[in-house]
Amino acid sequence: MNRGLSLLEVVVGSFIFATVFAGFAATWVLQEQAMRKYRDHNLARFLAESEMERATARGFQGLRSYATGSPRTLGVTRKINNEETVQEFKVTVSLENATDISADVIVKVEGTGDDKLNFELRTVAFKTI
Amino acid sequence: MILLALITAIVGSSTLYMHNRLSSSGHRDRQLKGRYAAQAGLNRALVQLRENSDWNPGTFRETLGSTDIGFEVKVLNNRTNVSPVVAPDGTDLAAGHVWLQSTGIVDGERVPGRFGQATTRAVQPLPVFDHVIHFRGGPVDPAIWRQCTIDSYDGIVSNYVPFRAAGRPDRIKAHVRIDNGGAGTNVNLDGNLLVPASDVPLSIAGGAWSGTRIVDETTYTPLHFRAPEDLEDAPITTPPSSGLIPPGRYYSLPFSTSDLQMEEGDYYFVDFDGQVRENLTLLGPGPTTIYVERGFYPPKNTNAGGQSDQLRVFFIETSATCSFMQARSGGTFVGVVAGRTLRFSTLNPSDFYGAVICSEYFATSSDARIHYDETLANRPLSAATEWVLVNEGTE
Repeated sequence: MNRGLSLLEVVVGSFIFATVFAGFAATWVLQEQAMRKYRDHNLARFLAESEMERATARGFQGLRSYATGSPRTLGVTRKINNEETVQEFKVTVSLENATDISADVIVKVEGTGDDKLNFELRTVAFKTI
Repeated sequence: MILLALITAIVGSSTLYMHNRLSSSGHRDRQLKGRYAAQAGLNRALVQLRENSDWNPGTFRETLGSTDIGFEVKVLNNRTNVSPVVAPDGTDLAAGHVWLQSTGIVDGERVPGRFGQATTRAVQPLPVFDHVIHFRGGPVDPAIWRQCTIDSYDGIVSNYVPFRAAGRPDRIKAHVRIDNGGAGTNVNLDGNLLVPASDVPLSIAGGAWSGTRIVDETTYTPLHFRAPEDLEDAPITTPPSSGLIPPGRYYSLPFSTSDLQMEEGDYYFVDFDGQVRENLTLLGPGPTTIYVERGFYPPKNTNAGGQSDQLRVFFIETSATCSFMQARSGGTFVGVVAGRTLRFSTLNPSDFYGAVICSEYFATSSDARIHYDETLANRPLSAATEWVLVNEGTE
């Protein structure tokens, strides 16, 4: 004999489904945020590596003048979900402990938005590079 | 229940996927930071070696700034030994070389593997004049030479017999090595043209050529000359107004005189300008080595009749990177000249006895003559040079 669902069962069931779906939706939003942060971070790392190579390729003598031009703002156009977006980064090349023969080279990439994105690379350059 | 399990599985796998991507991103961060930190370690080791060539700390650690990035460098210094030793990685470490292994440290942990670790050797290369002219490949222009005679002699200037003159066979010993290509017109060349690869652009036309074009795959360690340690921090002084100039550090020769004498030892000039018109005599018996920052304009007769290894002119690279040397018209120069960015030229007619390592050569018009001292081959000459990292190479 089929007596159907009681009101209590329907309420409890609905509550469980609502909770699960709410959790699912929250997780989905968090994942979207994490994915965006992941993409931005990868891009910042790529920019930092490119900038470090560009700076050191100028040789030790050219490093100082290259650092003088910092910070630079780089705009990167990306296509996400078939939609082009331009994202700006502040790229800074600076020298520390500079002498006639060596210098610490620091490349810092920062996001210009509210996400506090920050990636930094450090190395040491010697005169004969 | 099935629906719940399905949703949980989807959310779980998606979360796991995201977690893996974030972990791999963090891993790549560490590798990249480790790679540059390891490079920093090698360069810091070169700085230490420059200050003390016998530096051999075993293991050396340093943090870069106030960060949690740094490096650990293992060092085996074999500079003063005369025979090879076995390096910690099992390879032979040649005499004069320093074995370096640098490992990047990120977040306080070593980054192992080929991304975070670099193993190499450091050496202070010495100049070897195996060629009459070695064009090391200037950053600006390829080698250009024209209307000149390039030949050789046996080390004694008075024994020199001109190329193709009666009584002189073709010696074919004045080899020109060209790293980045170039062009020669109306050149009399008593030697081979050596290029590092068959596709190096090179042309030679007119004149008489007794040699051939040869692909020579020898690689050469970059030569960066520096001021000798005892002169690097010495005050710049004013030289005596004439006669004998003792070894020391000078800005230039701010006077006009016809004759100049120099002793055995090291000299450092910012500019060796053209005020001395006639003769430069070396008192020897050892070599006179002149380190020059900018230009070198030798007197008309420089070390005339002497030995080429007795006068050594080396160009130092500073922020003003273009060094220049010009031999006077109608003069004789006996010596060796080297500079990575050197632009070398001879005024005609003039005789240059010795050998040159340079970036460019211009013979300003006809009848310039360069004679290679055959006794210079395979002989490293002492010089103050910067440490460089090498994997392979000679010099």
